[in-house]
Amino acid sequence: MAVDKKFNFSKSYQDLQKIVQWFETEEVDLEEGIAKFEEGAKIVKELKNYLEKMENKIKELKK
Amino acid sequence: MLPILSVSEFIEQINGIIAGEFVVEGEVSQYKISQGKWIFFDLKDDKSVVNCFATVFNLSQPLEDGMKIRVLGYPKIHDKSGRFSMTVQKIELVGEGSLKKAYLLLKNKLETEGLFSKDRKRALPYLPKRIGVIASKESAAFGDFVKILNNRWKGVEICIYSVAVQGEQAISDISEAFNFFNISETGCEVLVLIRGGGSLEDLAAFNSEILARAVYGSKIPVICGVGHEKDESLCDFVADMRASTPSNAAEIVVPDRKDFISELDFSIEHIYDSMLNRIHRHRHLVEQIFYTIVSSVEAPLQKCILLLENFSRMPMVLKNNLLTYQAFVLSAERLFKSVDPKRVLKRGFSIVRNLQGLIVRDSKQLDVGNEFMVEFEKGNIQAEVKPLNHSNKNKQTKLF
Repeated sequence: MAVDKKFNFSKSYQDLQKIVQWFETEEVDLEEGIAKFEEGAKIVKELKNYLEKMENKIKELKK
Repeated sequence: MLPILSVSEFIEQINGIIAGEFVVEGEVSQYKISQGKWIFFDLKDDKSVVNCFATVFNLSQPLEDGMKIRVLGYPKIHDKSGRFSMTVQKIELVGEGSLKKAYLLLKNKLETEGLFSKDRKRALPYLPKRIGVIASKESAAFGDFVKILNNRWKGVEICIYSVAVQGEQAISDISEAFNFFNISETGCEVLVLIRGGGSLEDLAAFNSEILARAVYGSKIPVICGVGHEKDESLCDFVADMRASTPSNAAEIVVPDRKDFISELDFSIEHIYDSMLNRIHRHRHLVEQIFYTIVSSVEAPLQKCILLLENFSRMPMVLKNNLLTYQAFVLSAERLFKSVDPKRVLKRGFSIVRNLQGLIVRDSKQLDVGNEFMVEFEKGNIQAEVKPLNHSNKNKQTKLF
């Protein structure tokens, strides 16, 4: 799967953190929990894909 | 014949003769600062001494007695005092000892000013997308940084601002670089200042007050990785984060992909476990509720069942009772039958009654001539008592 250009790594990662936190603090509603779990799994997949596909770039700044 | 000069003319002429730039090396003594602006000290060697004068503006670092320095300046006799001194334009420290001393002096000064304060250290951005690097593009330090970064992380843009990292040029280049990153919209979320190892003299730029202040003044958080593990520079102390080497700077600025991925896996596992745990809890709750309902219904239900069972057993009980009664009636009937006097008559016995109908059990109850009744199995007769002859009497006796 190609990396979506609009994919924002940090934001996705933050979203994942929020989901993890949600599971830690909320008295989970099962249906909502399943939706969140699926969302988390999707984010993890995207983050991994990003780390697999992307390369680092070097840009020289002109003085 | 020599011309006669006024004192002012004399001093002016002498100043003209000795005019010119000199570089003099010696040891500092009697160092003092006046009014925060003027600096006076003596420069001496084993035999001689010369007074020196400088302003704080052209002195790049604080001095201390005993330091060995090289002074660039011009000699001058002062009009008012007639004193001879060197007016210093530039000072260079000579030898490790002096550098070390100067370094410690500046360090102390900056520390007192609060440049190293932990309170002002900013958090570094987590997972920066764009990293500004101030280094020599050709240096091993930059190469190491990029290599480690590539090994660890993907999807980052490295903006390299190449600078000289040694000598006077380094100070101005690096200052400019900080300036550039802070005024241009490069989008860099963190700046990394790196240089490989070297002697204290090589690293002098990173110990300069100008660069220390440039790092301090940066709006963007700075990671400084200069020299080897053991080296420390003033820029290190001022930076938001100190890296021991350029490679270490790469380790600080981005996480390791492998660690990150296992963290991701852990996160999803954690969520999964949490979900599962909740499902178990819910199931347990439901079971408990079910149990409560069942147990509250069970007791009356059991009672009901028992009642029902008893009820269903009723016909059987009734039947049994009936049989018992039947048996009782039959045996009673048999009993009655066995004691029925009529059955005795069947066997050939007869019943004798007087005329009042009372049974006669003794022959003495009847006298000769009395009438009496005899009941046989079949039929009755009325008879009269006749006298008994002896032969018949004996027969009767024999019979019983």
